[in-house]
Amino acid sequence: MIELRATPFHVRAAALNRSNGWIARNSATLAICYSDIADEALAARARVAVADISWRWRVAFEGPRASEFLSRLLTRDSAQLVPGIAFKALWLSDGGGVRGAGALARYGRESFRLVSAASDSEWIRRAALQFDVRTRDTTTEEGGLAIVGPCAKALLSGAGLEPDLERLAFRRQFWRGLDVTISRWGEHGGYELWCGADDCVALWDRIMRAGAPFGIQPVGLAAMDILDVEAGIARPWRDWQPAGDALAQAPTPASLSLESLIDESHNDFNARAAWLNARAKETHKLVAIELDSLTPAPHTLLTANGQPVGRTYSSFYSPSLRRAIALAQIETAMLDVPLSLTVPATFEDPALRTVMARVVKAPLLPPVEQLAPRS
Amino acid sequence: MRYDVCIVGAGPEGLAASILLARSGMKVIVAERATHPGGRCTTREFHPGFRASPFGDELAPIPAPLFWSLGLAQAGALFLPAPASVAVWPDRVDVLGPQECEALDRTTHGMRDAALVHAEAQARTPIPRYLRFLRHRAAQAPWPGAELGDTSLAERFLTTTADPRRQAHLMARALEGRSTDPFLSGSALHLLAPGRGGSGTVAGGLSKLADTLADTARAAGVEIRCGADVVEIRRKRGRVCGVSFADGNDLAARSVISTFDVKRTFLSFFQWNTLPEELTRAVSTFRFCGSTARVLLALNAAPDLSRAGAPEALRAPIHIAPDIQDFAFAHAAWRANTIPKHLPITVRVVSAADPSLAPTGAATMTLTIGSVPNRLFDGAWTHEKRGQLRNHAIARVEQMLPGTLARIQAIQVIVPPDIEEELTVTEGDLWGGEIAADQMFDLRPGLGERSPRTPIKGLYLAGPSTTAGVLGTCASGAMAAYAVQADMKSGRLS
Repeated sequence: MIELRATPFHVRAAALNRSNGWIARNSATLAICYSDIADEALAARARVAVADISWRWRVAFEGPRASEFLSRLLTRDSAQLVPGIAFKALWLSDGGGVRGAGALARYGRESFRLVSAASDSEWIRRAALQFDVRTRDTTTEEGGLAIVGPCAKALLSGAGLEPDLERLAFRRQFWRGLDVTISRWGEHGGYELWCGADDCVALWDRIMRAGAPFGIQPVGLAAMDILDVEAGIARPWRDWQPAGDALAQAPTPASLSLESLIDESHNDFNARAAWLNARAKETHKLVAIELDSLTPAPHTLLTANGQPVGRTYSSFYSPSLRRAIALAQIETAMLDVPLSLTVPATFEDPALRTVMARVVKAPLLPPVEQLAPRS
Repeated sequence: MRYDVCIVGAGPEGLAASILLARSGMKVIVAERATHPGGRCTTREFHPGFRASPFGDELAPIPAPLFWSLGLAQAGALFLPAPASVAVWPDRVDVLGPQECEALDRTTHGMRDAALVHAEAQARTPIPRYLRFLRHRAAQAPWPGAELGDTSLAERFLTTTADPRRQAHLMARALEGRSTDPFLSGSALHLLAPGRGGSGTVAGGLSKLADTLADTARAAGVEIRCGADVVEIRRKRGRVCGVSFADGNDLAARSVISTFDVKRTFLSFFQWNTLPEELTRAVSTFRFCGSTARVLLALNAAPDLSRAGAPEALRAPIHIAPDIQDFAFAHAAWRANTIPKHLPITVRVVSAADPSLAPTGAATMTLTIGSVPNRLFDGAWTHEKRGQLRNHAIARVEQMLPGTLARIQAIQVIVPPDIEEELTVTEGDLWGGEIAADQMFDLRPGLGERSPRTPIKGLYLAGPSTTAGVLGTCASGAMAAYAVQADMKSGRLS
């Protein structure tokens, strides 16, 4: 049975969702877009955008051996993490396949939280039991908002929050009666605000009020997906299927271009040997590509010199780049070769035509912080 | 030192041309009279903390392949298309959403894109000298969009909708800042011109685009010389050999691209009596139509447009044009060199789309007014007459957006002579010549050679006096660059 739940912000999202389009991610019902997808994606680059990120899976770990367990589980050593800071890491199946990726935040000596785009609760809970570590799924206990855009810092500052945080840092703050956590774990250069589910509507209202002078705009999941692809970020279940089987060897970190989330000096994480063994053999890589087309081409075969060399995953029209872009997995030897693929000529005309594409370095656009308005 | 190409004017057209030429290995210099590159893409602080682009808020679209090849997005230029189009009356607000705008514009945007492809093909094809006479008389493929030359705007919009206010709304979108009789055959050509859902505004103001283009040009090896006032384009044995500057210095170049309008180019940079008579006659009969005034307003808060029922309405162009007939009356007044009674005004709260243009909580508003004559029937623009225009315009805005007047902190008025003075455009015409059936496509600028080439060997015309200049931003510069590359390759410039 498919479980669907409303996020704590649903009542506000429903009132603003003029397109009445909804989508499920991680079992949460989310607005696809509130008015216009391109306008929302541009708001995150020109002004400030607010997105409901309560759908992200969050789990708390507590216990004297929590650090030991997480060091074993994750591809970075949690012992090196100080309270108030997070790192990004992977966890692998015993066979070396990527089961998940996320940010691990240290709240205290024996207290951690993991935030990820996809749930892996049962496998992690069972593993934690081996170390006597208590786990608690907090996904439905609290809600989260992402505040993205060049005016995000000014908005939070004007609202009375303290946004002076390094990347990956977080801080709990008592904000005029609300207990909120402000973090910078996102990939889009913004902030996240987390609070208890009962306080979420009040949090939304305060942020929208404080953001009005900055032209704040609620953005749906479609616009956030565009930002993901512009940043070259692949998401589980949207772009790749996590290793479900304990012994699964695929997808490898190298095939997803996620090896930067592995600390090579960390010697005892789960499946390190499998990772080292598979690493040299990997023939594919996940890359961002730009298409000489306005029409996106998701899940399409990529060819070079007439031979198939890979395929696209998510593909969207980027209003900032004014062209279609995609994430694609292609043969490592073909990274510098001109690629071609077939796309419909236009949205209205389904006739296929061949267009060229090329691999580009991610992120495809300058980070949002660099677009910050003059002081 | 001898350059391959000297480009006169560091506006977006000149900078785009310089990037394309430098990337093809040519030695390129851009000479700009002002202290900063940008031309009409300028953004200034007109009141402490309030910034606006004085000569326009929106740009025509940069053709997609050109936009990609210039790498503007990666360099930080972010275009913000208008999220809607709004027209206001005291008792009604009409909002066209993005899907409606796209549906309305699909045909004409298709024509515009196809016309640009046609212009590029022309630019890339040098005509051998021995064929030039024959080719001019041979049947040419018709320009896409040429059919608009015998259609009027009124004809088009009266058949689109039966709602008279929607008709006025569509007319206001088509004619923003310009003047024409909408019942006149050929006025539908304005649908191809900028100012109606093009690339939109640029985050940080239009100067951000100019800065991005200038940085890209420098990175490509282009020399940009600011404060260099070109006073003459020099010729030797009938062909261009360089330019002379106001400070007395000369510069040698194999070819020159002028981004100025056709009149400025031929009647300012050459001694007119040394040019062929038919050329000077063609240039002097080319009609200009300076009709745009701008009012920049610093407000202590954004106006209230909640009655529109759409939060994005404040970021959209807000047209004030009660009736379709008003455009005809306004044009008649413009022809009589008087200020029209019913000014067609487009209001933009530019800081709503880009908060960096105003202090937090305040707002920058611009008014683009059409049908404002370059010279008034009773003499030049004086301080009092500017005041009259300002009061007239603000009264209109206050009528449609009540409460605006009380929010005003500062006002700056820009009339066509100011545009002429600052941008050196004839009669303050930002569109480089009247858009009419006899001044478009192969007849723009109608010098006997198909633009961007001119009858003077080695001289190319970019800018708004060419058809590509009307159709898109940077497009005319690109066409001039393609023509120079083709002519260099074919030996026409050797």
